[in-house]
Amino acid sequence: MDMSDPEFNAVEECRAGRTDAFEDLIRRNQDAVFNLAWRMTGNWHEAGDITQETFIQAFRKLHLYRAEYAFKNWVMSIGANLAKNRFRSFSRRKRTEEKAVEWQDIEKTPMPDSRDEELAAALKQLPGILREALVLKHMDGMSYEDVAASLGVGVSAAKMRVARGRDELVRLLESSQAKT
Amino acid sequence: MKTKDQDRIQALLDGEVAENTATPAEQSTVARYRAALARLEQARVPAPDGLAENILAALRAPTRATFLDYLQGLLPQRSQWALPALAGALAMLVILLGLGRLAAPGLQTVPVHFQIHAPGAQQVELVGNFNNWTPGMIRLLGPDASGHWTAEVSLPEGRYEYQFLVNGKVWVTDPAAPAHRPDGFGRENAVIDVLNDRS
Repeated sequence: MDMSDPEFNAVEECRAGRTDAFEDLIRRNQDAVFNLAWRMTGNWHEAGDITQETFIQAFRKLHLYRAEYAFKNWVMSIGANLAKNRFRSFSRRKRTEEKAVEWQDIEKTPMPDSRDEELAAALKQLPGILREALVLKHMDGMSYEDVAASLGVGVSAAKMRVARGRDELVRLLESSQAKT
Repeated sequence: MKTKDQDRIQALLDGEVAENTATPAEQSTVARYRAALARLEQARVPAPDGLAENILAALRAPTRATFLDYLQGLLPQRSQWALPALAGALAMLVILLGLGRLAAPGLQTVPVHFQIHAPGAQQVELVGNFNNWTPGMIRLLGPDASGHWTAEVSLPEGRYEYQFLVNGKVWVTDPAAPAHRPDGFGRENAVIDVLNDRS
């Protein structure tokens, strides 16, 4: 990470024990993590839960974060892993129950009405590894290098997943349109 | 199996091939792909309101009490106990030093020898969770006549993960480490257990 990057300073402040500095890191990255979690799970409320858990884990594991990686890639890799493991949710739910603060506000923020249901259905049919690569590349606008870092794979593997995801998405959307 | 045509479509989408080299059929396919991807880009939504506040509140919330919390709860709430307690602790320290031993084995450190063979390197650093993965803190000495770089670092007992950073940019996993584990970014960290044999 570039040392003039404001995220670098925020990470250093957090490591020094200033929890408030973490707010900046959350606000910069929460949309990306939430969208990834939403598209990975297809569940608005589950995505909120995963986003919250992602940042809590990131805060608690900041000592493991290495400054040469972009913070966003690191936090996205945590979010992607949590989203993938959503079926192993028992332990997560248990930890959530232990928290003193209840997850409430997201219940008040409804899912957008203008959803592209056809797109959502197509994404749901994509294999998880293609869906996450596609979301990172085209919904979040990441470079292939950042997609690779977020997924913990090489750049060529990231490119291959994005390419296959594109092919599948186009095929699914067009076959859905042909049916209607 | 991917075809050459599919590779070309992907290259056009990624801007790796100039658009003016595309055939009419390729232009048509690229347009179909771009329309689908535009729908994906437009589907991005902002995170729900209150998410950051919830996370910060959860981080600030008290966690489950530990045994240490229990011990702290036994201490008097007022601050006047501090001086007498400090005096008592100092007296105990003097007695223990007099007996030739310091009763705090958990604070003792163990010298750990790190070594890597990198004869062509200009600089080798040791970076791990013991220094918050911060480069620039521990530099190895070398190379010696056989091309080895070495450092001796005093660490408390525990399990540590580390890598060598060669010339400030190349991460090298210690092949001689007793164990390795994935670092989550496609590489592996070396893992070492530091034990105090003298305790």
